[in-house]
Amino acid sequence: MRRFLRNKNFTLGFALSAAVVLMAVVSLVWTPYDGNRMNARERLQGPSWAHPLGTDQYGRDTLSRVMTGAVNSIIVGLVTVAIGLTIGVGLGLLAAYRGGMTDEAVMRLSDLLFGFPAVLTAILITSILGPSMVNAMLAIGIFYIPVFARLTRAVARVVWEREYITAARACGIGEWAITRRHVLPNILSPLLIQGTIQFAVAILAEAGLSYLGLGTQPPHASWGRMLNEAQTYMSANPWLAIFPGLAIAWAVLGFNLLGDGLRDTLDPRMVRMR
Amino acid sequence: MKKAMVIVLVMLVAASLSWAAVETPKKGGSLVLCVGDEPPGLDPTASASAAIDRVVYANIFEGLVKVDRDGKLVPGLAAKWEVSADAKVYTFQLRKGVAFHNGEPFNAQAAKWNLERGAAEGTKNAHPEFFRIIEKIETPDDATLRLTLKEVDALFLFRMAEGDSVMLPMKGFENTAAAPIGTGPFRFLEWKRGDSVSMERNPAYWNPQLPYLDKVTFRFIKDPSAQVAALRAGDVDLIGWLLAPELAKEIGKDKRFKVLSGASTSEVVMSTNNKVKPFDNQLVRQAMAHAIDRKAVIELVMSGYGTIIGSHWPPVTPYYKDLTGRFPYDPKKAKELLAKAGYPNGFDATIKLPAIYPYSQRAGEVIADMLGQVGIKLKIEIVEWGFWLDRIFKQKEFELSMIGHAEAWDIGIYANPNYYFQYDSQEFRDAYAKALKAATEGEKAKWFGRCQEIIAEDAVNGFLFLAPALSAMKAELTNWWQDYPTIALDCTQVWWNK
Repeated sequence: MRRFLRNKNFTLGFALSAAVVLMAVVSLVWTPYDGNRMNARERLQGPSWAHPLGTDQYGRDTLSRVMTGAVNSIIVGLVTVAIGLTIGVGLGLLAAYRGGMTDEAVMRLSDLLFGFPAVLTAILITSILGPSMVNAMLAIGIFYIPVFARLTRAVARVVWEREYITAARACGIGEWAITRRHVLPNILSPLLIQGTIQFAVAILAEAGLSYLGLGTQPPHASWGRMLNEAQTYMSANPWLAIFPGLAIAWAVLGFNLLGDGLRDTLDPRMVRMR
Repeated sequence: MKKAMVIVLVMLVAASLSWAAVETPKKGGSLVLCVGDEPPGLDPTASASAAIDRVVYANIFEGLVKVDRDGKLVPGLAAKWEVSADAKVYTFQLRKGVAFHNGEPFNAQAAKWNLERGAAEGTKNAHPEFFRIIEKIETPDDATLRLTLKEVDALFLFRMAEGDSVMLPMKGFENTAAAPIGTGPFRFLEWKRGDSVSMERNPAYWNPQLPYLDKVTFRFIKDPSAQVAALRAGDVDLIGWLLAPELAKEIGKDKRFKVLSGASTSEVVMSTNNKVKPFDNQLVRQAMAHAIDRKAVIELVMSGYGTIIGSHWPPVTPYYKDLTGRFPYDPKKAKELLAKAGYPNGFDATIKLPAIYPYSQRAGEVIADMLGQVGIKLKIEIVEWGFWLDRIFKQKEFELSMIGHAEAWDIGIYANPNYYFQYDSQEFRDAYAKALKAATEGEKAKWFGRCQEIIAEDAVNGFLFLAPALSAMKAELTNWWQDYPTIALDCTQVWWNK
């Protein structure tokens, strides 16, 4: 643990992302106001004691919306990374121990998916399936599959070359059992690092899709959508855009730093370099 | 001494006022204006799209009569007209020496051909009924057109002033959708798809005084912020229809620009599918009408611009009846009505909002919140315009939607049970038929008033507000229409005072 805390990236990243998670958890039980409740008399107010982050064009409390938006972002991050991890890691492991045609097929399929610009394809998918948060998560999640598949295959193949694997094989343990008992535990740290970074990317991607109107649908709060709605009000009421923008920057920075910190501390090669 | 000063002052003011009044328009200059939607074609006689009329009506094309900036009927290609005592025979005296931009003469034969074309079987005109009511067309001479109607139609002249009734040349009409040829003050120059339509002064216009401008370019800019940025940067001189009312006050503060806020004919309504449960229940619709705080809607959606309506009739149009008090904002009453209708705990429904219009999305969100207060939980679905036209407007697959009905005199859509909101009322159809056959002003007022009452009482749609005609322009631009009593952005009398 001390090793982690000595790393500046990790400490800062952990603090920032913990704040986001905390905000999201708190918002599940309490927000200053109902973030979807409109109020014609209190529209477009600047920050005040009653509304620390001001109110939007419908008189909704921005702080409450930023808080519920955090839940939205975290759900998107978790679900997309989960999609990428389960399918991508499965495919990667399969490619690593089967090799040959399976390996080729999985890798070429990954290349194919990588060949498309991620955001454009996400737009394509959401415009076919219809704009919604679920479809946005699906679109982002699909793109995470090759990311995790490639990583898993690469690190798993290294593990497969190790002597203890040869030993396990000599004992007559089956390939799946080896994968489960020896390979997977040994590739967990790169997956964890990658997962954290992809988490940050997902928050950004969801904000982008919602900004384009393809992600979270109104009236649900999403940071990207808040930016979109703020657009025409921005010159007169800049805080409408500043706070959701800050929230996005904060969360993305936090999870990225956390990922960097994890890599610095968990990656044995990096440790040796110090 | 003081008295003398006052007199001098008064004289000075009076002098400056009279000077302003006789100030003669200056000729020349060009105008670049921006509108949100690019029209699907440029033929107003082949599509109901308001985007077409906004570009070509009164600029490139003219009809027999016109609607002026105050909503009054004024001569167009007909210099004057007479209506017979039984209100069935219209005799138009056409302007002499009028030519289309391609040189073809406009005369009674051309007018006859146009009217017959609109009524023909298989016509592409969006409103063939405007012309099918004509029984007989006579052309005693080149400049006289006599129309005999099958029955009295109180709106006939207004119909003839719509974009659907403009005059096309008999020979040069084929390519109207791409390169229109009309009789108007401007002739078509070029259509850069996805960018702009430009037109230039018609030197042979029948009124030699007009137009003042040499060139007009309509640029299509969809994004409201981009529109305003273009105005600020000087790329456009005028925003014909300001999509983001929240920006109006700010533009108005800038001395280089001015903002005009007038009345339009676009009633923004929460369209309600009257054939679908539970919206087929009058009590449910009335409950929704009570649950909507219209004042707050205007404040939240349009930043305070706009006029509350209580029925489907613009307050700027004759025979308007004020029904805004019929369903005051009263959530308690709304809940009672819902309970009476058998939904004491409310219900769930979906509202489909066209993505193309910011006001529609915003109004949808606001209404969803208000209806949510009385237990009607709305799921918001934002749909593309093509999807809206197909699924909602044509196939009627919807529960609630939100749209502005831009046309004037369009209450007749409630007489059509197949119109997308599927309102079916014999009582309304009878009243509307009587209104159309009314021969006197008093009768017209009575029956058009009754029509407004019936649909208000039935709460057919959620009648919300009349969209404001908001335009923003450079301060030197003069004589732009403040109100938009018809669907047009008429540049004929606009000039630069610089």
